[in-house]
Amino acid sequence: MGTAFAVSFFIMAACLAWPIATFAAATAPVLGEAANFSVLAKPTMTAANPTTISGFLGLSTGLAVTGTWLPVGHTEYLGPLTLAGTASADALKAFNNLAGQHSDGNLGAWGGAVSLLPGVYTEAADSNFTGTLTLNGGYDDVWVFQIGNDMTFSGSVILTGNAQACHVFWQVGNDATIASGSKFIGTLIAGNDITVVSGATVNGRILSLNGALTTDNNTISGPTCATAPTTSSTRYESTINVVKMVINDNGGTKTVADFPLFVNGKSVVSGVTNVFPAPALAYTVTETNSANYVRTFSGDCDVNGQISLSPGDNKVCIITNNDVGAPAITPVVPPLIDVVKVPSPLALPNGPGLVNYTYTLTNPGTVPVTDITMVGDTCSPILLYSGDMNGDAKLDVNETWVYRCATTLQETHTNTVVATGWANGLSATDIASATVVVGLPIVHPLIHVTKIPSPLTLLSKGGAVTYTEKITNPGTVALSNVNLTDDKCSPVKYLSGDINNNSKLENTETWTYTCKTTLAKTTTNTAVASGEANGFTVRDFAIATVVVASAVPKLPDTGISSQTGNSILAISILSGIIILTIISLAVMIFKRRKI
Amino acid sequence: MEIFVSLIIAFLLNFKLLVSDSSAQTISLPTNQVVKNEVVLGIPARLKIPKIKVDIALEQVGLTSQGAVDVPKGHSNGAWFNLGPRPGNIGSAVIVGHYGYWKNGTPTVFNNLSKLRKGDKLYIKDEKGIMITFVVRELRTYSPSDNTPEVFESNDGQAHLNLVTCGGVWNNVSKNYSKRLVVFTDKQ
Repeated sequence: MGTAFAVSFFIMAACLAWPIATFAAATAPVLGEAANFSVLAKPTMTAANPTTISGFLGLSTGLAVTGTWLPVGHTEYLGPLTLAGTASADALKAFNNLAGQHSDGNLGAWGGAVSLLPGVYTEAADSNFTGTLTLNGGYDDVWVFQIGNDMTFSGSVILTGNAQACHVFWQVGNDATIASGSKFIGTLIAGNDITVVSGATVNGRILSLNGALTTDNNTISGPTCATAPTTSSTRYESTINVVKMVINDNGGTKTVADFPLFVNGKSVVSGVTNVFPAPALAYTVTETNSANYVRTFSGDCDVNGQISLSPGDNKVCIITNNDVGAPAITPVVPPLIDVVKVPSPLALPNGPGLVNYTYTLTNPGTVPVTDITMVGDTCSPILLYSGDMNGDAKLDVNETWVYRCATTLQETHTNTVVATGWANGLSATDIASATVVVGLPIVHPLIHVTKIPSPLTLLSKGGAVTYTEKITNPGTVALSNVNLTDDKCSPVKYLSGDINNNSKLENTETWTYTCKTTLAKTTTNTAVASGEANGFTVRDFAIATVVVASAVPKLPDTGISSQTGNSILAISILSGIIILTIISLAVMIFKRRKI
Repeated sequence: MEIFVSLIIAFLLNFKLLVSDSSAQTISLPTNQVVKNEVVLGIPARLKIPKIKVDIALEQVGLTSQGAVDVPKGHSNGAWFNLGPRPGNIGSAVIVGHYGYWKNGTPTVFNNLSKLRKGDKLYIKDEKGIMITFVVRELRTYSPSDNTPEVFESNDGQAHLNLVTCGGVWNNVSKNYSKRLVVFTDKQ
């Protein structure tokens, strides 16, 4: 696709949804001293009617301005030996930088309602614009307009999303005119004269390299500029999610509700995300435990249930309670559960909007899972859409349950869902998180990991277990620095999956890992997969339990009554003796007859 | 007397022929399918012990309500204890078989297990057709009530297969044998 066509397409698409495309990145030039000037000209500067400026006024080589410039007491630099001379030289460098940037396409005849992606747009000759120019983008997106000769702008520039005036630049080779009443945005650097007609406002700078500046009852301010929030800014909540698992492999009967949970004494509910102040060196997760259960911490908690929290962290603390009871010879088969969550859309670059979450629940184990619960924050209700094929309310091993939930996000948010199910007295849990960035054209990455132990059960004293982990990318951006750890098994070895050998996990790939260990008792371990993309780090958890029996089986009673066999043997022997006797008698009779 | 001698000779000849016919069913091993430790093995399907002419299908059993390993249902089958590792995987796999005679006089599959000696070989074919060879290490006799973790557990990182059956004297009152026989084998 030619660049001209590309630009035309986006102009035509002005009223449509913002298309996703890849453009050569326009960059903001270094303005040096010129950055502090609202207006700069060479020989003369005239305000036909009072003109308000927010920054410095500079004239070089002229030594005096004409008209009224407000506010009274503003800073003026007049003459080439003042800061205006330096600013003018810096403005020329910026002008040349802008002129040298690679063009993304020609403007041609343009006007009306125009919406442009960030990029570099060029018109070799004169350019006249009348209409509304909408620039939609993020905090750091840059627009550069290269006009070879004269430019006349009549109308308005509108910034949407998080586009900023400080990142819009106009490089005009000769004269520039901002028409009456226009609302102009950006830093305008013209080679020759600049005229700002009556009533026009400028959110930016008006810098003439070699010409005169004429204004008439204008306001030239700004350009406004804000720093893009980072992932650790206060826009991102710091959260702790405490997840309870219960193992009844020795006759216990307690459930999740039997273990009240607390973070620094504050009551919390298993699976529910809670916001806590950050930074904090250590929050302490506690519970009302039962004397007949052994507690272990995993996930982001240390062995004592302590968890640090930095701004923007979304931490997960897993508490597993295993019952202590009569030694069990038969190891009960533990359930497994797996949940994947994908938001749609993956980003809301234009600000707050509706997000639909789809949760896919599967059973990678060997026994049906019952009593499924889906606990999610910020989105309710989470409704089962399909998958229970036989309508038995059990997540069978061959079923895929699809849940959905819709919510409106006002700001960037990480949504976490905790899926829990039961089988044979044991709970199984999986956690899925997805972040939707609001107000920036940034797609947050997603990652997913599943873990299947083999075998799921072991006899007394345990034995070898092999965990097979598979990491996938349910998102749209490739993940770098993919890593997998397991709190109770090492080393975790990568086996295969990076098909194109680029060390990035694409959404078409499945990376397989394995880890072998020896278990002596029932063990719940947590694998954590992480990856990076677009400046974000994403994680996913996979939790699995292997049940180890606590007593040795008895030897089998394989005996069949020997009486039948002995009788047959006896009959056989007796028959043999009788036959031999008969034969012997026959031989004797035969011999006597011969005699 | 000559007739008697002839009968004896004929009997011995027939017996030899029978033995020869039986031994003609030699077991051929698909060497290209011999697995190493890392291969994922399927569920065991057949057990072959050439020395005692055992070539049987395998069922799967778990535990009885009394906590004992269960026994095969089929008269001519053995059974793999499916709560333990699969034969060929690291750990101690267990296969059980009946001992004694069925009502019709047919001998059960592990009647001659006690004839095995150290060095004898036996073979497991899994559901994928993969053959795994085991070598007898030792035979041990236990009382029915003995605690026998060594039968079900091992921690040497090797693959073992232990064959379990009954032995000793039949008790007409309790309807069981007085002993349990275990043949311990190691993966070749």
